[in-house]
Amino acid sequence: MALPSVAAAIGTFNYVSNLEILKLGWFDLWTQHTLCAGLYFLHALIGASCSWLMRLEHRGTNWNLLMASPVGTVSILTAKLFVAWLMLAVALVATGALFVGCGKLVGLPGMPGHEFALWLALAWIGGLAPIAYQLLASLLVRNFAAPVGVAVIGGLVGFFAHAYDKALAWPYGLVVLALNSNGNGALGISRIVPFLASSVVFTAAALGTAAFVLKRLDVKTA
Amino acid sequence: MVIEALRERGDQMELGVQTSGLTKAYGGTKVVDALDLAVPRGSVYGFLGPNGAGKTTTMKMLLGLVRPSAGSAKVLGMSVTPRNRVQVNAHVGSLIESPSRYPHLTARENLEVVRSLRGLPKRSIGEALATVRLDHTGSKPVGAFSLGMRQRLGLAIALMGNPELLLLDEPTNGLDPAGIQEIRELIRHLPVELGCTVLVSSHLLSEIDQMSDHVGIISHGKMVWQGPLGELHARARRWLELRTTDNERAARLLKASCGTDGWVRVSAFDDESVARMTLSLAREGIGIVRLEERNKGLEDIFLALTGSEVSL
Repeated sequence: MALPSVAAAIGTFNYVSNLEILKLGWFDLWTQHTLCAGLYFLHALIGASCSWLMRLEHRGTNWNLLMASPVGTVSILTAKLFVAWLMLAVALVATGALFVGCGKLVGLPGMPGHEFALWLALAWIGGLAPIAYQLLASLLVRNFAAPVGVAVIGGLVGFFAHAYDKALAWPYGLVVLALNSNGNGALGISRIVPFLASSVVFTAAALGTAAFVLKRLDVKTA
Repeated sequence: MVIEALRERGDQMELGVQTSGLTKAYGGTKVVDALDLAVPRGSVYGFLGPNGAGKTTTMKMLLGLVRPSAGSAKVLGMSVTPRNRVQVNAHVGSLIESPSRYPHLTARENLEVVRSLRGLPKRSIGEALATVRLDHTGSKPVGAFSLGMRQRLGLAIALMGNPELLLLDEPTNGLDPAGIQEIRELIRHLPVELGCTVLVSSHLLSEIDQMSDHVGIISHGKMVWQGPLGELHARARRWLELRTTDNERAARLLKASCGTDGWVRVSAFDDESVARMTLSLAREGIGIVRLEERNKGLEDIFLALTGSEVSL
């Protein structure tokens, strides 16, 4: 909740400070809110969530417990992926609620259109891929902060990839693309399938690599 | 020779755990070296060795946590491979290194994690907590547990679901004397009450002596002795050594051996034999200067086998 609140505060401040050039009401407030969120905060949040989920197992001998259980490596990782995905859902719902709340606070008329909810839902789907890569990073690097740094850098690269229309080729570009935070244009029907395919392929690749690592390497304990 | 004999015997009896040439090397160093382990089903097998002998690595290989560099392992008749880790571990409970735990959760919540991982009924949590006497801990997070309580939690995790095989790595670490005694009793009775096989490691000879009926002694990654504990006890012996005013005559008279170290060794050590021996020497005019009882106990045998200091 803290990071979406910071992003909303910065976004609202930017919007109010630039009212002379931001004339599109809810849409301009949205771009200001999600610019920071997509650029830094959501990916940092994904990175921190995955680092925390993996740190639970890196502590002490918890990998012994998990890997000595009658549960496959893919199941273990899928469970982690699902929990991190739920955490992202909470962050995105908070982002939407703060967007509406801040819009009313600065006096925007009416309510935002349903397309903003759709963009949040698409960002949730697009978030699967960076979550899978962050789980892989946090599996390989036991440090908490370093994978968060990877997530932030990934998000920055994703932002520029989106600017050059290459967001589908980079797992950390999918959330930025879905949120339409730079106002380049929302995901149309024609790009939904490639978007979903990219999300699935990136997620499967990262999860498969992580499962291979868990299965093939000796379990290390702290 | 003992290992070969046990392997032959192992062909005849059912084994809960069997390894063949099991080896683990890190770089050029073999921490487990061609280990042939034979754990009879329904036994409490004490896996004894000094710290760093390779006990934990061996147990990790049995669970599929560490991949062997060479050799193979069978657990409950199933080969341990990365492919069937899940099937094998469904029948095995374990406490390896220190107890695993999520410190922000309570004991019950920790066991709930294990219950869901192992697909056990809800009642298994209460049973396991009661067995290790942790059923009173309530909402206390495990992070605030003492070392002994954490060890009990580790045992509860291992016992959940009454597994067919228990691998316990130094399970009494951190427990107070009463707790140690209690856990020893628990482990000793597990094969009878639950019908399971227990492989328990320790660097404490006295502990293994009190808990197990079979023992394997490992040193520098190699199995140096393996067999029923009774056979190890049979190797322990006592004898008398004496110094006299004429050792050679005394040795001839007593039909004993005379060592170059100035002592005469006599195998008899019961009171009646000693009385007869001293009187006969006196009758022959041989004075006894020193008379000492010597013994080779389990500690000496362990020391001789491992070539290291014994922990008592």
